[in-house]
Amino acid sequence: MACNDLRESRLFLKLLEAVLKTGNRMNDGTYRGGAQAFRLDTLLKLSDVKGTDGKTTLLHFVVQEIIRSEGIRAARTKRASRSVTSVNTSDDSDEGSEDSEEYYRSMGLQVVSGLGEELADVKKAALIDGDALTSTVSKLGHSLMKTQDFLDKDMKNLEEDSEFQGSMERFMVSARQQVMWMVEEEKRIMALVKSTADYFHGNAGKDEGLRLFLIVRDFLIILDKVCREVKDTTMKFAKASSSSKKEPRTSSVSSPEARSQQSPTPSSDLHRKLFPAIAERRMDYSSSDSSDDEDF
Amino acid sequence: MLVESGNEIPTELIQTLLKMAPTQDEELKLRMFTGELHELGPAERFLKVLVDIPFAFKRLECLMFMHNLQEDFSSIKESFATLEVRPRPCLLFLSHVITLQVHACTWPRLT
Repeated sequence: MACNDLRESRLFLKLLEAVLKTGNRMNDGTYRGGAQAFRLDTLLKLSDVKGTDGKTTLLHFVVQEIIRSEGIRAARTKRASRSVTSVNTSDDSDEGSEDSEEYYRSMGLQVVSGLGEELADVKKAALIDGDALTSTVSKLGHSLMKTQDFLDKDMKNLEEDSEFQGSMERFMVSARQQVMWMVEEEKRIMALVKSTADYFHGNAGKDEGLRLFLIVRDFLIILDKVCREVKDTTMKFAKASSSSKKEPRTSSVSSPEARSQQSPTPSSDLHRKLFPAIAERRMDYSSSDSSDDEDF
Repeated sequence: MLVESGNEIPTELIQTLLKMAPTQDEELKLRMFTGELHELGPAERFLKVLVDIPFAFKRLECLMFMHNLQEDFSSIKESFATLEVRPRPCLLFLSHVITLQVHACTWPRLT
């Protein structure tokens, strides 16, 4: 089950991986290279780091990278599934367009823009008041004990053998179970949230609790905006370049990865200029791509 | 007093009744009162009847608890589910990413 969930949000993982890789590249040498140094707030700061044009942020760059790799991945998956299902159809006619950079990019964009939806529940989780949840559970536990005490002492001494007493006794059986379950679950889930929060906040001893979800939610809101911006600029580039670029492709059936490395997209050229230090050491997705293919 | 799920008496009414609960001092005075009921004002007359029911207000608190438990249990259950089932993948991701970062090794194997 956890595995299923993991696969569902593979993209988010991907994004974070890219973020971390980028962070490392930016702070090569100075970055202390460990979880203890990384704070989740760093995610939010990604959109503060601007390129040389003063407009494009580091997050734009990261999104661009992911669109590229996800696009290639999506196209590959699609081609693989089609070659199995329909071998002898005339699909070859549009093969050329499917191999183009624009095609990869639009496939990638589709995948990335689904991210916000994919993690919509994080937003829901961010709305939960953890302290209120804890206090409600303990209040119910307190009420349970008080009620039990009342039934055991006052009502027993009264010896009225009423319908009230009978109903209350019956109710208390299920009430005890429910309250006990809630107390246990509350402990378990808050510990889960806390241990994860500790991870990101370097065990600062501060009980960050559900703030984690707030950060992720804020990040997703920014991410959504950046995705839309990247989409817009990508469309413009696609239009501009499709009319001017007519060079024939030399390699016949090389792998998509190899091809995209040979002919960098106009946008990645741009990013090379904007973030020269990063672009020199381009993120290498191919390793993680292949290994998580096997995993899932 | 019919009690099955705590719903027979409207919750608002239970709450109002609980707010009317007399202080110990007032309760004592009401109990000590042996005169005719019609000598009292309407509010006192009502309280006098209630106070004569053994543990009337404690019983009302029981009904309130019945009601609160039903309501809170379902909303708390939902909150737990939201915190665990869905955000967990995201949390796990973050953990895995960090693990990846720390050990600078291969992608964690999921088995």
